[in-house]
Amino acid sequence: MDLDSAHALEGSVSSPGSRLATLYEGHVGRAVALATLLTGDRDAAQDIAHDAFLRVAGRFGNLRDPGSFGPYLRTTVVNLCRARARRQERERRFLPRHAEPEAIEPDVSADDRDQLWSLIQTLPYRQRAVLVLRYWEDLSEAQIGEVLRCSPRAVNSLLSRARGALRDAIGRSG
Amino acid sequence: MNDLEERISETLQERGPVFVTPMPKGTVARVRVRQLTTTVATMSVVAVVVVLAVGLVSAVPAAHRPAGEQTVPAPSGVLPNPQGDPDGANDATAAPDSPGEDTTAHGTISTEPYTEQVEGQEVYLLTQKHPVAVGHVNGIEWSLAAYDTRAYSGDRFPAFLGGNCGDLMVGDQGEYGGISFCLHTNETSADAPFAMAGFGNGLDRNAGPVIAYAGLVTDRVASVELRLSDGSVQELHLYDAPSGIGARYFEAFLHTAASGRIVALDVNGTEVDAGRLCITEDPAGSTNVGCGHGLTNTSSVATSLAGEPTAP
Repeated sequence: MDLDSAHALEGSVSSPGSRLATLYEGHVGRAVALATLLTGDRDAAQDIAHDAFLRVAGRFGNLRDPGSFGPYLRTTVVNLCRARARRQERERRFLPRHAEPEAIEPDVSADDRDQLWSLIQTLPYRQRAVLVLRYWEDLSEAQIGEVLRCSPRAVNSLLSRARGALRDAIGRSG
Repeated sequence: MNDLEERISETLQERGPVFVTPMPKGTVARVRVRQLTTTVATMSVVAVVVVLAVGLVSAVPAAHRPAGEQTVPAPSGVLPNPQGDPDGANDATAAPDSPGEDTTAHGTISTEPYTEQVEGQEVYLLTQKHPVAVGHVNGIEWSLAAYDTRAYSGDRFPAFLGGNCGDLMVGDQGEYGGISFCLHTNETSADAPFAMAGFGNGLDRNAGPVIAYAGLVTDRVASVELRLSDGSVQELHLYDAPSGIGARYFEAFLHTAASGRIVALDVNGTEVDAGRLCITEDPAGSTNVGCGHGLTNTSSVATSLAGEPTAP
C-alpha cells in the first residue's frame, strides 16, 4: 500500500471528503493512464477511471482489505475497458458504416514508437490488456491472471500471441 | 527482456503518462450515494433471503419435511453390547404411522441415553437400568431401558412384584416423563410372557402429542406385531437386553391416538398374548397418561416444562 493510501485509510486526514480526495489523487491518475493504454482514447479513459473510482469507493466499506484499493481499482478499470471494447465490437458488427472511421490501421509512415502504438491498438482486447499489464504495470503472469480471471498459462499464451502478432506486423511493414 | 519487449515497454510508458488528477466536485456526494445504495441493496437482499427462508420453512407442512433423524443407535461404550453388536444396542425401529416426522430441532443436553435414576432405587433394582434403544419422536429424544427387579412393597416407590421391567422415557433428560412397565404386575400373572403399557403426552405444542407403547416379552414369544384397526400390521423390533435380563423389549410410537392391539406371537405365529392400544384420545395438557396391563408407574413431566404454555 502506498503512503497516500495508508494516510487516507488510517484517517490521518480529517474529513471523509479529504480522505476521498487523497485516494482520488493517489490512484485515479494512474487509472486514467491504464485506461488510455487499454482504450487508446484519453477522454474515454478519464470517464472510465472516474467511474471505476466511484464504484470501488462506493463499496469501500465492504472491502475485506482496504489496503487493496489500488488493485481493486485496477481490476475495475480493466473490466470497464473490456466492456467498452465489447460494446464497440457489437456496434461495429451491426453498424458497419459507423465502424469504418473508427477502425485503427497501423500508421506505417509514423516513427517507430508511433507505429508500434498503432499496432498495439489493433490487437484484440485481451492481448492488448496483457501487454499493458505486463510491460506498463509490470505485473507477474499470476497477477495478470487474477485481473483478467484466467490462468498464468493462459496469460503466457496471450503474451506470446501478442508479441508474435506485433513481430509479424512489424516485419510486414518494415 | 528482448528488443521487442523493450520497445513495447518504452512505447507504453510514453503513451501512458501518469498525471495527478484532482477530484472533481460532486465526487464525494456521488460516492456517498453509491455507498448508501450498496448498503440498502445489501440489507434488502439479506432481508429478502431471511423472509424467503422463514416463509419456506413455515409454508412446508411438517408432513412434507424429511423424516430426518428418526432413530439413532445408543452410543457404544455406554451399553454392555447386548447382542454382540460392536455398535451397541439396536437402532430403534421407525415409528409406525409416522411419515410426517417432525424434525423440529430441540436442544439436547446429554449425549448418552437417559435412564430414570431415583435415589434409593436399589431397594427394588437387581440390575442397573440399561438403555436398549434410543431414538427421536417429533424431534424429542426417547430412551428405552431394561432392568430386573425384586419384589418391593414399600411406600417410597411403586410396588414391584419382581421380574423384568423397563422404562420408556421421553426427553433427553426425561423431562417429558414416561412410563415404567413390568412383566409381572397386579394385572398379569407371574409367568406372563408379554406385558405392555401406553404413554401419552400432549404438553409440548411445538412437538405435538407423543403417544407411545412399550413392553417386554419372554422367550416364549417369537415376534410382536402392532395391529391397527384399519387392518395395517407392523412387526415390532424386539431389543435384546444385557445378560441377566431375560426379556426382550419393544416400542411403538404413534402420532395420533389409534385403536388396535399389540399382539405377541410364538414361533408358529400363534397368538400368545395381546394388549389393547389404550391411549384412546390425543393427550393434552400437562398430565401424562399411562395405561396398559404392564404399567407400574407413569412419570410426570418435569416442573420446568409443565410451566410452558399449551396449545390453544
